[in-house]
Amino acid sequence: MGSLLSERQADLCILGSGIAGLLLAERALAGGRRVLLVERGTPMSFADRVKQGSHDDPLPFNSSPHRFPHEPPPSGPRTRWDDRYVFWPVYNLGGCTNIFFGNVPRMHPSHFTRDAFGGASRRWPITYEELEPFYLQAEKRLGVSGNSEQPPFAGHFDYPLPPHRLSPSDRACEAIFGPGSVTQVPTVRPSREVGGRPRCCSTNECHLCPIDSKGTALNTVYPAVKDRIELLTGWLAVDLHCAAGRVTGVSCVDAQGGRHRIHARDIVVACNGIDSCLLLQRSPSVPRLPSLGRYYMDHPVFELAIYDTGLDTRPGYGDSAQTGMLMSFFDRVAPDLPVSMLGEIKSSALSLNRGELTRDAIVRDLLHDAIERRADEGGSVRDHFTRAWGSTLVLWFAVETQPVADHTVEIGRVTESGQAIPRIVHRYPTYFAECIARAVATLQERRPQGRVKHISTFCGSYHWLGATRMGSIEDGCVDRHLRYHELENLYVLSTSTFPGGSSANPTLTLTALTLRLGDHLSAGNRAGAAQA
Amino acid sequence: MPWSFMHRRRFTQIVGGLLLAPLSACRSRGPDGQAIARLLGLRPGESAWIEQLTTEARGELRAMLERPGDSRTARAVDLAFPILGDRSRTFAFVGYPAAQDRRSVCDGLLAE
Repeated sequence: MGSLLSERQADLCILGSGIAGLLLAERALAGGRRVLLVERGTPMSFADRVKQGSHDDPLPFNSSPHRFPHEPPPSGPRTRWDDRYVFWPVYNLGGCTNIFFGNVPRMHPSHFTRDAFGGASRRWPITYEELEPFYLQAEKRLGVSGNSEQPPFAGHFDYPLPPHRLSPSDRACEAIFGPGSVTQVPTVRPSREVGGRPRCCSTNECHLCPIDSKGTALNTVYPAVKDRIELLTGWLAVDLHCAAGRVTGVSCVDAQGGRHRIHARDIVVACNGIDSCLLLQRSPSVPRLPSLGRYYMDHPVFELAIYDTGLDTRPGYGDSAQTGMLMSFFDRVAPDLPVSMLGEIKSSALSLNRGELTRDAIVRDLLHDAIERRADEGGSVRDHFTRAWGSTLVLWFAVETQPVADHTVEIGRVTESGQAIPRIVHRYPTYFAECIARAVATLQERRPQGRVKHISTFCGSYHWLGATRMGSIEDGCVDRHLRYHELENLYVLSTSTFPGGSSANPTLTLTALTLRLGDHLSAGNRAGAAQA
Repeated sequence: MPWSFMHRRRFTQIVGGLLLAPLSACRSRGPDGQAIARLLGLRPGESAWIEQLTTEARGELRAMLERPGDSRTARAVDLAFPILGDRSRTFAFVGYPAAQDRRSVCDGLLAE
C-alpha cells in the first residue's frame, strides 16, 4: 500500500452508490447535509455497459462473481446452479439494481413479527405499520408499476404506475388457486413511459435492460443527485477507524494502491449485503459483536412445472418478463409450517432459447409425452405437443430462510489490490423439502388431472440477508435505526440488517429503510444544530 | 462483367433453384425423413429441419417414433430435441408467430 495521498472532511460519508446509498444521499441533501459518496467502481455509463455486454468493472479490486461450495438439495433434481453458491455483485456506479430482475414487493406484515422457527428470532424491531409510509414513498420514488386496487395484502397501496396486464399463465394460475390468489407483481419494469424511460419491452433481458427501461439507482436517483454530491469513484473502503465509541476515519485505497482518509460526522456503510459485513470485519477497531457475520440468509428456490390439460396458459406470452405472483403461500405455507413462499408465475420460462436448462427440461418432457400419446392415440407429435404446451404452467417459489447462527460470512482472503473475498457458509433450510412437497401436493390436489413435476432447485436468489442483523446487542449488530451498537456515528444500510428473511424480494424493503434512516439522520442533524 | 450477363445468370439460378428445390429436398430427406416429418407433423417448409440428422440417426428416430416406450421414447426425445428445440422452431411448431433466436438465451415474450 502506498503513502497517504489525501485527507477529506465530510458531513455525511456514504460508502456505496447502490439504490440505498444514492437514495440516502438524496434524502440527506434535502435535509441540508453535505454528502460525500464513495464508490469502489468506475462511473461507467449504462450505454457503455450495454456495449460491453456486462456490468463488469475493470478495476483490480472489483472482481465478480465468486462461487462457494454448496451441499446438494435435500430432495429433487439438481441443476447447474445449485452445486455452487454464487455471490455476484455489481461493483460500479448504481450497484446491484443495474442487474436485478426488478420485482419490488413489500414484505407481508406478518413477516415482521415472526417467532423463531428452526433458528434464531425472526422478529423485526420495527413493525410493518411503521415502515408502510416509507414503502409508499419508495414506490413513488422508484416508479413502481403495481395493482393498488387488488394489492398483495390488506394495507395502504398507491402505486404510481398502473400494473402490467396479467398474462395467460397468470390467469390460468388464478383459475387453479381461486380469485384473489394472483396479483400483479409490483415491479420497476414500467408499464408505461416514466421519467424519460420507455415502457418495458418484455425482452426478458433485465440483467442488462437493452433499452434502459427498468428503474435502477443509476437512471432514477443518480441524475437527481450527481451535481450536488461529492462523488469519489474508484476508491475502495478498507478500514473504519474507531476510538471512544465513534468512527474517526475511513481508509480507502485507489486502483493504484494510493491511500486516502475520510473524516465525517456520520458514516453510512451502504455496500451490498456481503461487502458491508466484510468491511466491518476487516476493520480491527470496530467492536466485534457476537452476531457479526452470523445468521446469514438467502432465498432458496424451487421450480415446478404443471403439465395440465384444459388450461390456457400460452407460455411465452406476456407484457413483461414476469407479470403475476401467486400469493397463496406468502403469509405462511401452513399453520404448522410458519415460513413463507412467494410464487412467481414464469410466463417467460418457455420463451427462453435452447440451452436454458429449465426450459430444455420442460420441452423434453412435453416431447416425451407427445411421442407416447401419438403412438397410443394417433395424430402427430405436433398435435399432442401443441395441446400440452398450451396447458403448461411454470411456477418459481422463493422460500423464506431462517436465521441460523452457523450460516456465516467471513473474510476468506484479501487480494493484493485490497479486495476482501468472502467465505460464505449457507445451507438449505431444514424445511425446504417439506415446502416442495406441500406445494406439489396442493397443486396436485387442485388439478388432479394434471401432473406436477419438480423441475429445478436453486440454492440462492442473490438476496444477501442477515449478516449484520437488526436486534439487541446480544443478537444483533445494529439497532432499529440501523446504528451499529457501540459506535454512535456508524450506520449500516444494507439487506444484511434484515433479522428475518421474509420471502419477498428485499430491494423495496431496503429502499423503505433508506428513507426512514434519511429522516432519522435529518432529525439528528436538526437536533445537533439546535444544540449547537 | 456486363450487367445483362449478371442478371441472366442470377435469373437462371433463381428459376433453376425453384424448380429443383423440391426434388433436392426429397432426395435429402429420403424415406426415413418423410416418415419422420409425417410422424412429427412437420409442414412442408419445416421438413428441412430433419436434414441436420445423419442418415443413421434418421433411421433410428423413425423407428423410435413408430414404436416408442420407456428407453425408446427417451432416445426419440434425444434425437428429436435438436430438431425442435430452438426457440424459433418450438414456437413455429406450436403455431406461435415467428420468433428470432438471438445470441442471448433470453429472447423475449410475445404480446397478446
